[in-house]
This record gives sequence, C-alpha cells and structure tokens, in this order.
Amino acid sequence: MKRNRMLLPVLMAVLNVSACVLEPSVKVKIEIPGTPAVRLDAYREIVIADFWQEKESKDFDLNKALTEYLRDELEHQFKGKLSSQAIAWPSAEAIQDKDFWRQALANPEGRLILTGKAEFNQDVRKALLAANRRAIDDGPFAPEKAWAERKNFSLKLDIILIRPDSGEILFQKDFQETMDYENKRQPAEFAFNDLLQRVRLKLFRLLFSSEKIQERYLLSK
Amino acid sequence: MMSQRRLIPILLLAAALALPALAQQYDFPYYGKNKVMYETFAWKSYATEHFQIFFYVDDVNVLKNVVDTAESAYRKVSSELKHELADPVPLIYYTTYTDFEQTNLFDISEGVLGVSEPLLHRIGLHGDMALDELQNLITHELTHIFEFEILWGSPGAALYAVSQPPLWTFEGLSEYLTGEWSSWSTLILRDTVMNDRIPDFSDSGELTSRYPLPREPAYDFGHAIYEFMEMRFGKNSVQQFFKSLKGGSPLLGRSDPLKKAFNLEPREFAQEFKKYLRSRFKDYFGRENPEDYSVPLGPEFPMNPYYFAFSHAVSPSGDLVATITFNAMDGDIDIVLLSTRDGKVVRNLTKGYTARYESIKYEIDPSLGKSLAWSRDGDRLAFFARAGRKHTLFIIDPLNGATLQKIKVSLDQPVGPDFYPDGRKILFSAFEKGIRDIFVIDLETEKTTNLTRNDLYEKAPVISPDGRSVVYSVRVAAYDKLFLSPLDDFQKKKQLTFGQGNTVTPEFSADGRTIYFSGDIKDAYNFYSLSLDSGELRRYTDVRTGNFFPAPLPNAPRTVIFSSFNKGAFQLFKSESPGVVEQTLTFADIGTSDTFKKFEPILTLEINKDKIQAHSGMGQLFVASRPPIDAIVSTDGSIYGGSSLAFTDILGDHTFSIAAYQVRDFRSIFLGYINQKRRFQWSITAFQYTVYYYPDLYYYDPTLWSNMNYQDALATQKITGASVSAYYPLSRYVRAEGSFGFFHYEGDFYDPYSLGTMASMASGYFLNGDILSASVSVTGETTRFKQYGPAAGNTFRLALDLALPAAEKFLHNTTLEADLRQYIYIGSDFLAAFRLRGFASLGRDPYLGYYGGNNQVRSANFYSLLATKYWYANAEFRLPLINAASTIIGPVGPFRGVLFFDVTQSQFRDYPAKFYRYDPDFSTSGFPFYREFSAIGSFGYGIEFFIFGLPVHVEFAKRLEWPSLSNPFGFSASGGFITNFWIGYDF
Repeated sequence: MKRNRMLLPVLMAVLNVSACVLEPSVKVKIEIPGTPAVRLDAYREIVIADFWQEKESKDFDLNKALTEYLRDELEHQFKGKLSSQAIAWPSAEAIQDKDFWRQALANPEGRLILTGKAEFNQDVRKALLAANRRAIDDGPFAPEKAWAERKNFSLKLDIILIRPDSGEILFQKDFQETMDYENKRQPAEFAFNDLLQRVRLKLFRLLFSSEKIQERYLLSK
Repeated sequence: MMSQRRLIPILLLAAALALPALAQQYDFPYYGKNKVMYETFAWKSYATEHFQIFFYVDDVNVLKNVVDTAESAYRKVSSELKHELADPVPLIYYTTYTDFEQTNLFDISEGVLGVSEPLLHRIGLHGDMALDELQNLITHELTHIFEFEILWGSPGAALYAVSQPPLWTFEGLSEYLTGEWSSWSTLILRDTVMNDRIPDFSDSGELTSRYPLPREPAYDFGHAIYEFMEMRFGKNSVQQFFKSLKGGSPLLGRSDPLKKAFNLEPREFAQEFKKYLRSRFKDYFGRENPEDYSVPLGPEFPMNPYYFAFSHAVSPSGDLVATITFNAMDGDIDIVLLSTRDGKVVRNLTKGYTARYESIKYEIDPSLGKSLAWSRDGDRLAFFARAGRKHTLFIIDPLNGATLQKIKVSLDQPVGPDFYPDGRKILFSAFEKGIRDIFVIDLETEKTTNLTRNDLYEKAPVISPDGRSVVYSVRVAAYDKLFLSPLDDFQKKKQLTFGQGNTVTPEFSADGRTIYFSGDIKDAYNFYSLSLDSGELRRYTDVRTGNFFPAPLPNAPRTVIFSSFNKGAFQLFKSESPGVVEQTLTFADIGTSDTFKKFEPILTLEINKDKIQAHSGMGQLFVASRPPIDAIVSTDGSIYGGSSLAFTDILGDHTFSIAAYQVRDFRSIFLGYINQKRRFQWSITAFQYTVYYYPDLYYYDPTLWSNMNYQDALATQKITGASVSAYYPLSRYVRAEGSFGFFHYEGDFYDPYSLGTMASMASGYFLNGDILSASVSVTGETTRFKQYGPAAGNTFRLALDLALPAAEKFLHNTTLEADLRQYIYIGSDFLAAFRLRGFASLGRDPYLGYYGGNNQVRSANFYSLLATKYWYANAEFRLPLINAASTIIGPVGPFRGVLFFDVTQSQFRDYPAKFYRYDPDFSTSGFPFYREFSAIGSFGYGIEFFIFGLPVHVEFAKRLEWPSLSNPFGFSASGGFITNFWIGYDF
C-alpha cells in the first residue's frame, strides 16, 4: 500500500485554517465611555457670550440663533445655571487676551464663558448630471434637465471655554460642517440649524463624555 | 392614489371590456357599490407663496380663510421643523364633507377630515368645521407633507422609498405641531393612564395596546411622546429625532432612532415615557371613577353585544333611555332602549341590516350635541342617518323601530335633533356651505329654514319644556359657551357661561328652570347644573376622565343619566349626587351689535382676485403610484413578467394607463384612458391578449416541460380589440354601464394536422372572427358584508350583449345574462343566501358558457358543464361554527358551516336540453345505457375556514337528478357524497 506523504501536512493546514475561520464568535455592540474634556460639573454657571464673526450673516442674527440653540441644548445636559451675555470682542485676537476675559464678567468665580468664532457661508453650486434620475416624477411630458443646482452651506465653528477668573482657555475645538440642499429655497437659518446639530453631536461627546457605540467580536472559546 | 371603491367598478369595467360576454366572476364574485360623483365641480386655483390651492367655492372669504390658515400653518411647521419645502403644496379644498367624499384622489370614509399623500404631496380636506379646527387640520396635514419631504425628498421621491418609520412618528408629530389637545384626545390619554393601559412599543417600534382603544394610539400617544421629548431632551430634540429617521433601513429595525437620538433603548424610552405620563396626570389620581358616585346602566359589553354609548336621550316618561351603540355581534351601529331602572336592554330598535340607510349618524365629539331625540309625547324617536348623497332625518316608532317618516336633508353634517313641544318641527344644527347654523325642519312641509344665519358656529340646540327658549353652544374664540335665546328670535341672546373652558351638551330640567351641561373648567369634563333663576352653578362630579350629556329623569328630577368615558369606552351611568355649589353667575343680554371674539390665524393675507384662475383641462400629468415590476426568468432562459404605469392629473379626474404582461400561458398589452371628472364616466381602451396552449407531451416525458416556452405552443388564441365604455351610477347602489367595441378573435394552430382535425369538428376549439360588440347592463348591490362575506341585502345584474352583424364575416349573436342574489340575515352570523343565475346566447354564432363546480353546481366538476343557454339556482344556509382559532401557524378562522342545495338546466345550441349519465346497471334493461335528465343539482353540507385571508371550503355533495322539472319533487339522489375542496368567496 502506497502511503501518501502529503496527507498529514494538508490535513494540518486544513485544521489550522478551520481553527482560524470557524472560531465561534459573537458580534456585540458595546458602549465605550469617554473622558470629558472639561469637568463642567465643577462650575455653577456657563455664560454664553457672542461669537466672533469675520462677516455678519445678512439672512439672520447668527449670534442670537447660536446662543439660543446652545442654551436649549445645554439646558438638558448641564446641571448648573445657564445665561447669555453680549461681550463685544475688540478683535479676533482677543481670544488670547487673558486680561480681556478676566474683565468680562463681574463675578467670575465658578463661572465659565462659552464663546468662539463662527463663520457661516452659502453659495449655489451647479453640477452636470449624466441623466435626470427624477424625470419621471415631473410627468411623462416634462423636459429633461441636464444641470442640477445645489445650495451649499458651510459652518466653521471654533468653540472655546474660558475661565473668566484667570482668562485661561480650558477647551478649544474647531468644527467644520457643510451640507448641500437640492431645495434652492432652503433658508439659511434652517441650514444653520442642521449644521449646528452635527456640531452638537461632536461637541457634547467631548464635553459630556457620552458613550460611543462600537461593534466588537467576542470570541466565545 | 386611487380609492378602492372607485377601483372596483373600473376593474369590473375593464374586465367586461376584455371579455365582453363571458365575464365569469368566480374569483371575487361581487359587483361593488358605487362612488357617486353627484356634482361636477368648477375647479379654480389660487397660488400663494407655499401652496397651490384648488377650490370651487365662489365666496372669496372662504378662500381667504383657507389661504390664511394654510400660510399660518406653513410658517409654524416650517419654523418648528427648520425645514423649507422645495415645491408649493397642492391643497385641494372641498367645501363640505359630502363633496370631499366625491374626490377621486382618496378613499374617504365617514369621519375623515383631511388626507395627505406621500407621492405628489397633495393635501385634500373639507371645510365643515370652525376656523380654529381648520387651522389645526391644515397644520396636521401639512406636517405630513414636511415629514414626507424630510424622509423621502420632494414630490415623486416616495416612488423610491424603501423604509417607513412607525406610524406614531408621523401622526404624533402632526398632532404635536398643532399645539392643541382636543378634549377627545386628552380624554383617551387620561383614561389610559388612570387605568394603567398605556400602550407599549412593539419590536418594530409601533405603539400597540393590549386593550381596546377608541382611536389608533399613534395619534394621541405619538403626540404625547413628542411632548415628552421636548420636556426631557429639549425643543430641538423633536425635529432632530424626526430627521434622524431619514435613511433608516427597514432591515435594521425601526427602534434604532430612539437609541441614536436619545441614547436610550426602546424599553428604557418606553419606561421613561410612562413615568412622564403618570407624572403629568398625577393630580387626577385622587379624583373619582364613575362607580364612586353613580350606578352603571350599560351597555355592559361583553355581557351583551353592545359596546359604547355614543349618544343618548331619556324618554319623556323617564323609564327608558335610547342610546346609539355599536353592536359588536353584527358589526353595526344600532339604537337600543335601556331601562333607566336597571340598565337592562329592552329592545334593539334597528336590529339586523337595512337598506333604508347606510349608517346611523353619531358623533364622537359630544360638543356637537346629542344624536337622537324623543318627541314630547314619547311616540317618536328622531335621528339622522346617511342615505345617498347626504343625510336623511328618520323618525321611527320606539315600540317596534318602524319608520314613520323620513326627510332628506340638503345640509351637511346634521346633528343634535330636538322636537318642538308640539311635535311638528325639529330643531338641529348643520353646515350650510361650510358654516354651522341652527335650522328648523317642518315635518309637514319638509321645509328647512336657517334660524341663525351667521358665522358663530352654533350647535347642540335644546328647546325648553315650555317651548319658549332654546339653549345652545357658540364657539367663542376657541371655547364653546352656552347661550340662551327665545326660540323665535336667535338675534336676542343671553350668555350663560363664561371664562376658560368649554361648556357643552346642555339639557333642560323638566321644569325648565335649570340647565344641566358638561364642562371642562376643571380640565376633565364634569357635569354641572345652572339655575336660570339664581345663577347658581353646581358641580356634581369631580371625575378623572369625562362625563357628558347629563339628563335629569322627568319622573325623578334628582336622578341624572349621563355618559362617562371609562376604560376605553363611553357607558351610561345614573347618579343622585347632590353636587356642590361652585359659584353664582350673573347673565347679561348680548346686544345684537355685540361681537364675539373670534379665532384669528397668525397670518392674514389679502386675496388678489386677479390671481384666481379657472382650472380646466388636464394640466400636468403625474405618475399615480409606484409601478409594480414583476420579473421571472425561467430555467430555459425565457423572461416573463410585466409592469403597469398610470398617469393622472392633479385632481385625479383623468387617468392614462399602460400595462404589459407575459407569462407562460398568456401575453397581454393594455392601453387605457378613464375620464372620471363627472358622474357620467367613460373610458377608451385597446388591448391585445394572447393565450398559449401547449401540447401535452410532458405527461409522457416530464423533462420536456422545462424545455418548452411560449414559442412551442401548440395553439394560440389572440384577441385584439378596442372599445369605448361608459358608466353612470344611478345611486350608490345601482349603476348602468354600456360599451361599444370591436374585437378580433384569431385562433392559430402551429400544427397543421391539429388545425385540420379541429376544423372538421362541429364546433371549433376557438372562436374566430370579428365582433362588433354593443353591450348594456344594469347592476345593483345593496349587499352588506362582514368579514366572512355577504351578510344581508341583495345583488342583481342584468346584461345584454349584441354581436352586431356589421358584415357577413362578423360573428353575430345576442347574449343575455342575469344574476340575482338575496341574502337574509337571521342574526348572530346565521344567514340564508339565494342566487339565480341565467345565461342565453342566441343567434348564428352563440358564445359558450362554462360553469359547474365550486358553489355553482357542486355535484359537477369545475366548469364541466358547457352550454349556450343555462340557468342554475342556489340556496344556502350559512352558520357560524368557530369565530377564530389560534393555531401553530397563526390565527385561523372564522370557521363557518353551510348546508346547500342547487339545481340547473342547460342546453347546447340545437341539442336537447338534457343531461346524461352513463348507467352501468344491467339489471333494469339488460345492457348499459345513458340515462337522461331534465335537470341536475346537488345538496350537502360543508365547512369554510379562512387561512391567510383565503376562504377555503371542504364540502360533501350528493348529486340530484330530475327526470322532468314539471314534477319538482320527483327527483332522486345518485351515488354517494363526493368531497369537494375549493378556495374562493361565497356568492
């Protein structure tokens, strides 16, 4: 009887691959806690101050919308008091001016200033589409269109948390979001709100250490 | 979106066109009732910044109300959802509900106020409501349009939508954005919280309740969920949550958005929500249940079959109370008499089914007033019921339910009848051109007169016992307030109730010096009395939920009968509570020049009359619905399947359709146009239909089956034709139809031998030649259906079809068809059903009729009887066996039994009208022979059960034979019982 010398190595290889591939595992979702960038619970009040704008938005009062939004959102996360105050920045560089921030509030103890820089832009962009995928919606006799217009909005937000007692910057983070809308009538204020929601998700994850959900594979052997 | 009721006659019409004389409705053997378009509306359109409003009313003020409320709603919804719609919303405004019912766009049933549709973002609604209610309605429907666009994109994009979030996410947001809680909604919400019946989230994220709820929980509990979101997570969370639903996959589970938006598992979210609701209503837990201060009278479902007391009226003697209730056994609204002593059901006055009316009118909103009234002598009972286009006032005998008088009312939504003391007139409230007023109808002349003719939205009028004054409610701003006027002069009025809250459902005491009513001054509706002499306001209850229609007994003035909402239903109670004095009111006469505070929308806009345009023609056409795509690729590579596409105009008056299908056995191409703009509707169709017949070689060699496609057919029959058809509904029940068309029948054999063989036979296999067909028919159906099929009423269809001899080569014949059915409902789902069906095709080229089997002639095989003239008759006794059975494959049922009998006669052209049976019995004649009979039939029994919605029948039939029908009792039974199994609907 002829003995097959190759049988053993092949069998070993198969078993080895099986061990890798067939390892029983369970897919799980786990919530990974984060570490807050700032211990906000150490402060009794957050004062939301005006944001610096290189150019004013002509469609709506950006500072008012931003302040109201942040206040509404922080209200359900921050246990302390929330207030807003108009603090006129002398220049964009004032952010680094500790003296300026030390003098910004009358009673700075236990308070934080939430402020930053905001830049909100909009434009209409055109794109040449190969085919009008929605021609059917306009009825069988509507002419096809080759050009598609999108209204583009972008928001740059530099969020800063400052200790008014020392003028020290505790937290600083840049966010940049853009969105395109097919609806050319999309108001700037509504787009601003949509962009802010994206910023909020990222900002609050940093400030309040909300859990991240991640998928993992548990080996059950 | 095409309504189902509209669809049925159209489908029948199309079927009649495709097979002019041989239409056999064995699949769904019902003809359907008609959706009658009583009026041809002269549509106009008006463009605003965000809407294209379609309307037909001439009054510009009505248009202004619609424009103001619509644009106000837009501003509110847009700013709340932070979204701007890409396109103007088509808003189709019908002045009244009965006009709205005639729309081609939606299937409207009683109680529907408005509809919005996701495909073309159209809103349809009617104006039979107060302005603040119209504002809420438009806000609700417009929110849906925003929801559709946020989720699926601009109009048309829903064609590509693959996911649909739970219903509560839609309806709840729409209710939430109205910013209003109706008294009915809060009642439901409070009742479920008080009785610990809050709905839960199912695995799919829908809200489900273990207990019966009078309204789909998606509305009120969805509304409460969004309020909870706002309270718990901030105002922005509402729009953030809804926007997070965009792009959700139906495969990943619908509950994911809760986790995504709030970092809460659905179970945790539900728990938090329940805690919120309990906390919201915690002040009510200390209040009373109706049993704490009164005795329940009923109806006591499930002790008896009557569920809910929608409205009631105490008899003048005080012994009886008549109430409108839902008969759960018959699935119908009935009027029953209860004893005021012990609540015993004395009589059901509207037992069984009737064709006198479609349904008794009742209102779920008590503020509209009671829905039935006694005459002061106790001899008559009045109520409104839907009959035909509008409502009819019915006056019945309370002893036996017999109709004493019926008067058609030309107004909309009549409610709150009340007899004058002399019994010669009836007072009620109704809408006239979208404005609610109080009217009087003279029972002798049947003339209706508007007594108020203003825009105050008066309702629920009740006449004092002496007949000199009338108490009613008026909409002041957004509250209903009680007023008193002389019966002969509504210009003079005295306001009786003031301040916050509604005061509704007034009723005089027997001496006429006190008014009982229901009010929500303490949030929940309690019942009160108000002395007209002293102004003393007395409250009798402090209830958790709500009490309505308090009516003191004439023979025991301290005893009050009222309805209370408790555990999901209204029930009647009897109370002798002494009550507590709340305050003393002073009344003041209202001057004729005094004006009441009215509701005003956020925006008021000027109407530019020059912008009003007549809407004529079709305008732009749109895809009506997502085209179905059926595709099959067989193992031999053949591609089968097809699709259909329909285009309609914005009002759904014109529909163009094209359909093409091919499977192994047939190929069809269909082009059609239907005009539904008027009551008289017509269509043009053209089609080609090819049937493929295959050789039976695969019986001998099964492997051949997979190698044959339609190209290997032994023979084909191709029918090509075009026709014009018309449809005219004479009423909701009866219609006339007609068609005129040309059809070319062409049979073809691919095997010349077969062609020769068949051509030599007396009757060829196929009908060949041209037909110029003219047909007319009259169809009527009053039949009322239950979940198992027809239950009561009758059906008929008489049809005449002529194949005109336009030329010698044209086929010519005359074909008559009749189908008569009668259903007699005995009660408790027992019924007798009868049918007589006849067919006669005369002339040179008669059509052939196939029948037999199923529920036609049960002792014959399916379609084994062939004739040019035939009739058959059926009599069946159908009975319930098991209402529903829970099985391992899910619920099965109901199970029903049937005892049946049928008889038939037929004739094939010039042959004798005989049936033959081969009799192998040698004993009588010494050799086998064919026995002949004049008629055959069957009798037997069987069961029917429903599985996956399909009616399955197992029956045992024995053949009957009549040597001559001149001796109808001279029949004999032949053979044993045969077992039949078939799936299909009862006739």
